[in-house]
Amino acid sequence: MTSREIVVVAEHAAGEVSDITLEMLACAREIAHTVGWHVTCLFLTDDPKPLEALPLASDQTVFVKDPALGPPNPAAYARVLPHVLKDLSARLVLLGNTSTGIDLAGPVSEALGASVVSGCVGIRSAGEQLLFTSRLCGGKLVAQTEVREGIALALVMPGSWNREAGMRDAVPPTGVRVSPVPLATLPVRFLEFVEPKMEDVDVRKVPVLIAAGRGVQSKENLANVEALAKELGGAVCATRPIVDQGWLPRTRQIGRSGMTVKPRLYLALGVSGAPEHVEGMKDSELIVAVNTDPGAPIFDIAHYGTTVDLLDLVPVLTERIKGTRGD
Amino acid sequence: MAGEGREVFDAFPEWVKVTFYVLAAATIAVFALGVWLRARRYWRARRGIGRFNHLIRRAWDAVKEVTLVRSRIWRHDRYAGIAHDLTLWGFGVLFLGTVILTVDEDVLHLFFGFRVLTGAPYLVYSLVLDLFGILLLVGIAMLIYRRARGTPRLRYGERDVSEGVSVARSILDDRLFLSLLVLAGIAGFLAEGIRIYRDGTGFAQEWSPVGVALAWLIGATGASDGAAFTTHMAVWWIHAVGALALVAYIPYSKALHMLAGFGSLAFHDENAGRRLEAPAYAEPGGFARLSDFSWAQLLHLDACVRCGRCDDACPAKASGLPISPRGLILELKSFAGRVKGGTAKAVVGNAIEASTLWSCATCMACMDACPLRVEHVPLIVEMRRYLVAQGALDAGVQRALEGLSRYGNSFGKPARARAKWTPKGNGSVRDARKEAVEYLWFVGDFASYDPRLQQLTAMTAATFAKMGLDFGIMHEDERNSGNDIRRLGEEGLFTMLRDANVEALNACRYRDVVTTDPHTYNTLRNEYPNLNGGRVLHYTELLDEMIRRGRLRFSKKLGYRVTYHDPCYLGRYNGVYDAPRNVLKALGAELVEMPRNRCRSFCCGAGGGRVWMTESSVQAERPADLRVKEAAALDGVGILVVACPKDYVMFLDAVKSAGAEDRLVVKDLIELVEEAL
Amino acid sequence: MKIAVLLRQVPDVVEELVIAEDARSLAEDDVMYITNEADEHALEEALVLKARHAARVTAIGVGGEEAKDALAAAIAKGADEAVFVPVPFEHRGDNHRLASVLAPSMKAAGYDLILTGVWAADQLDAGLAGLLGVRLSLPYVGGVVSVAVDAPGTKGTVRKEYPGGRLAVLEVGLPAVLGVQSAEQPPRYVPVSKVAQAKRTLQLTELTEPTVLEMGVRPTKLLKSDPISRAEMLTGDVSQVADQIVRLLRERSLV
Repeated sequence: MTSREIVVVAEHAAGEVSDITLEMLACAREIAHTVGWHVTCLFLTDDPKPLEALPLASDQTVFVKDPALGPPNPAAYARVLPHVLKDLSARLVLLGNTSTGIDLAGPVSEALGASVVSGCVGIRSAGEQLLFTSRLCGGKLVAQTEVREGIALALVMPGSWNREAGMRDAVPPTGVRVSPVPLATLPVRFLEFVEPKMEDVDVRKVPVLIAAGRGVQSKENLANVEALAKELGGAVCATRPIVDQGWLPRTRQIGRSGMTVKPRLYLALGVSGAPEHVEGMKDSELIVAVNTDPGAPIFDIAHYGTTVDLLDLVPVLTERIKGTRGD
Repeated sequence: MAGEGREVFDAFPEWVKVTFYVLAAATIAVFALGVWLRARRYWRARRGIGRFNHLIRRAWDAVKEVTLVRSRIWRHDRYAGIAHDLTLWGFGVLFLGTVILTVDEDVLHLFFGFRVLTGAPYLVYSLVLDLFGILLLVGIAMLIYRRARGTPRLRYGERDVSEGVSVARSILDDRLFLSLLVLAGIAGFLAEGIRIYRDGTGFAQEWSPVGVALAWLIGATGASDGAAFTTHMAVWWIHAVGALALVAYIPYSKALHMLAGFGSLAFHDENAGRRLEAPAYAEPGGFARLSDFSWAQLLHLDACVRCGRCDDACPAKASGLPISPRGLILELKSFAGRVKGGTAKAVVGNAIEASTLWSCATCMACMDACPLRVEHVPLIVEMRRYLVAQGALDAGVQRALEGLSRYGNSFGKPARARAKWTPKGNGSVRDARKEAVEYLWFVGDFASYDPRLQQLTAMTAATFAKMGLDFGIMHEDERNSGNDIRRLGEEGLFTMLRDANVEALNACRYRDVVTTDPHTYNTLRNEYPNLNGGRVLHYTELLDEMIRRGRLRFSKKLGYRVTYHDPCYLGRYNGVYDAPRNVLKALGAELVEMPRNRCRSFCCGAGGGRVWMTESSVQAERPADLRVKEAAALDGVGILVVACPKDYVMFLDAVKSAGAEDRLVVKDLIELVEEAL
Repeated sequence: MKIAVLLRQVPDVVEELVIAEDARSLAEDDVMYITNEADEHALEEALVLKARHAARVTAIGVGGEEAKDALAAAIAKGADEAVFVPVPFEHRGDNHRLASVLAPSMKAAGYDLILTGVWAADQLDAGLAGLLGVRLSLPYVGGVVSVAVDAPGTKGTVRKEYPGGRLAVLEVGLPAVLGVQSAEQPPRYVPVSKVAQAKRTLQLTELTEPTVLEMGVRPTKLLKSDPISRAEMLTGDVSQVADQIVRLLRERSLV
């Protein structure tokens, strides 16, 4: 009988589990619920202690402990994972479609002879088959893939499942094991982390964010956006192109390779809504998008939208808000 | 001795005569050397640029452009025009007079034993010389007065210093030149006065009013013969040395403009700016070093007299960008003087900074203002070609060019979306690729893709239809015409776009090409081959023609008080000023001209690829803002009429940032036409 | 030092995407290709390294005829040689297959560094770089934003990007495969005339396919995603929209 094991390869940092891990657990739970599969949450770490008491939604939590697994070394993970996954008889392996997960998919799939499906936003099982739904080409295409037999490795897109469902009210049984392979000599060595210079604003802690996208057009216009942010008691953040231009520091970038935020208000100005950006802000409480292109993908996830020109709107809005504060 | 003429050298000792001739010979030698050194540089510079067609007409036009009727110096500055004419004629006649005297004395008298300057001819001669001497002095006085008063554009500023212009040397040169002229002039009159006094002749013998008057004054001082003689010799020497020094100094000073300026005017490119020259070399690299400059361009550099009219006219400079047209020319001039031809030293980076080159909007206000027809814009484009070859581009420009190369438009949108603005169904615009039309409407990038303009373009199409025009467009086969791409320096991309457009045009049957975009107009008219013998028209020209022929009538008169902004590429570049004004008149609108109108129109700042630049230096006030303020200041004028899509969007933004929405509305001419039909 | 850069062609999403009749792929006649953006960054990083270390850069273009255009552009930008790897249309997204096609010749060539984009927009399969690393038994790091090579050329120091602008500095033994996220400087502009000239004088080495090939997954169905436009659109002019927004904010006590 083919295995019915789902292994979620957890992402964690500084003793805290990442949101993607909980989302993957939610996904695994969903599948397991319908067909009675078993879910294991797998941690590769040098110190299991801070993580042992987590009430995760897995059936069990396994820790592979080794000093070499402390720093995020893709070579160490890639060496250990295939062996552990084989030991666990994994049938479906979930990795995050993140900078960590993407690195592991190739090496692990080659070692296990596993099929890989990236960009997953939906996974179902139908008997022995696993059915995957993925988004490609900037979200413009949807691909459905089947894996009938053998191990399937799925890269899960952040934000596709509800992280709340990744937690339960009880702590699953845990187990700690050593690395099945020696990790003494690795071709890649972790040296250090370089933290971004955190200037005065940490956008993750600000309740009101005004996002500047390509539609802002020039650095001069940014001043108006800053004024609006000030009136609302918030901060200006940006999409990647704006940060690449040097108009704002990288710590203000929202998205896959930037910050993930959940403010009370996210006002997106001239932001098209590419998936890499949306990933970082889709959980915001209120999303209002301003874009002259009515077909912009941002309107798919925004609560409210308008096609008026942001350059016209911003000064007027700033005045109105100033006015209301007066009463 | 009545009608005797004048005794040259008078009763001066022989050594004076000998010394003078020696000095004169030396002067001529120095002058000749200076001229030869210049000429050699032109000789060694790049050739093969033509400019020798219609030589006589060129020379004659050049003369006319410096003096009186068509003087470019009179334009927009009558004071300078008068002062310069006086100085020019004064100097010219006096110089000629001296030459006649020399020939008379040293050739005719010496070799042929007779003199021309006797009797009546001499009297006329002396009168004319005196009068022109006065005119010269008046002219110089006017010039000195202006300089002393501190006219802004004659002053050098920080900009010039940072550009590397040797300001101290320039000021010294300016002053020295004027001083020598004044010195020679005044000393000349004084010498004449003393001579007449010593000769004891009167007005009957010499029709020299100034001389006679001075003689009388000197007489009144009661100077002794001896003192008079000494003074006479001293003053005479001052005059002689001053005049000789002036002549010798000409090739090394600003005075060179007498020769180089004439050359610059005579050999100017009739299509300067309008039709750019293709790159000089097979390996496109733009202007890297001195040897890339053509002889005509070196001539332009030498002709510059630092008058600063170009600086005054430049919209980029006015908005605070790091460019000074005058500084550019002077720095290139200095560079040309510093380096030897063929040296490996690159112009860009050593003489001119990239930020300066990218600041230019290619509006040609500088060239229009220049009395000597210095061609700034082609020089800038050549240096931009060099920067492009290096790949050193603003990020926004790079994105626009990559999009243009892939999709044929600068908006990064697919080619098939070009005709999205057209209404579907019955009112759709005809396809010129499928049916023959009278007018092929080349719509242009901005009009097709910019969301703010698409509605206007649709209205234009509807208005054309209402007017009964037989027209069509090329839909997706049209590409950016390439005008601004060429002026950015991406010649390869321009050629690619042009060839693609020519292919598309050849597949259509039409009589004339009409366009609503002046940038497109310029390149289609001047830089594209003429494909079918038809004309290229701007829509205002077409409307004007139709009105005059009676084929277009308006049902009502609009009584608006409007002002009109001449687009750079329509007006200054191609001389189309009257057609839009005629249309406004026919519409019944009351036109109030802005202070800077027609050839002095102040650019909106979007040309030359600047509309795509995102990294540009911070500007104090953008050109469009300045222009809108100029329009808003006009009494009772509520509408700013434009005839270019880029002007439309630039002014729309500017009216908002200037907070003038309640006072001024921006409208394209076609909107008024639609209203009046 | 020998550097190889892999340039892949991906469907240009600016253009309209048309699904083929079998609904399993895009329609071959309608697809417009563009070089994968991350691969452009990989090329730029290779050229930066070339300038620093006097390296030799080999551009490897993968795909159909349009890959040749990408190779011409790479040569015009400064790559030293161009290799064309033709891949049939139906296999273009399959990185497992591509890695097995490339591995033998790349192993033989003995590159010190192999750079390619860490991700491609049309990728359903695992990343090419990681797969190639395993096939060539070379160390692999992805998400790289800068590469430094030591003097003897035995070790590379790379910076790997993590969320929040955080960077991990890793030391990698050369030879190695790197998945580039972005180069140290934006991909340079190359004038059209230079590319045209490179096209005219282009000399390509074409790769023949080995017989044993591995395959990755293929979609069973491909569709265009329909946007379930969720936003409630605010109508009116600027002034009216501004008022509506202020009202929304007031309702939530945000002003």
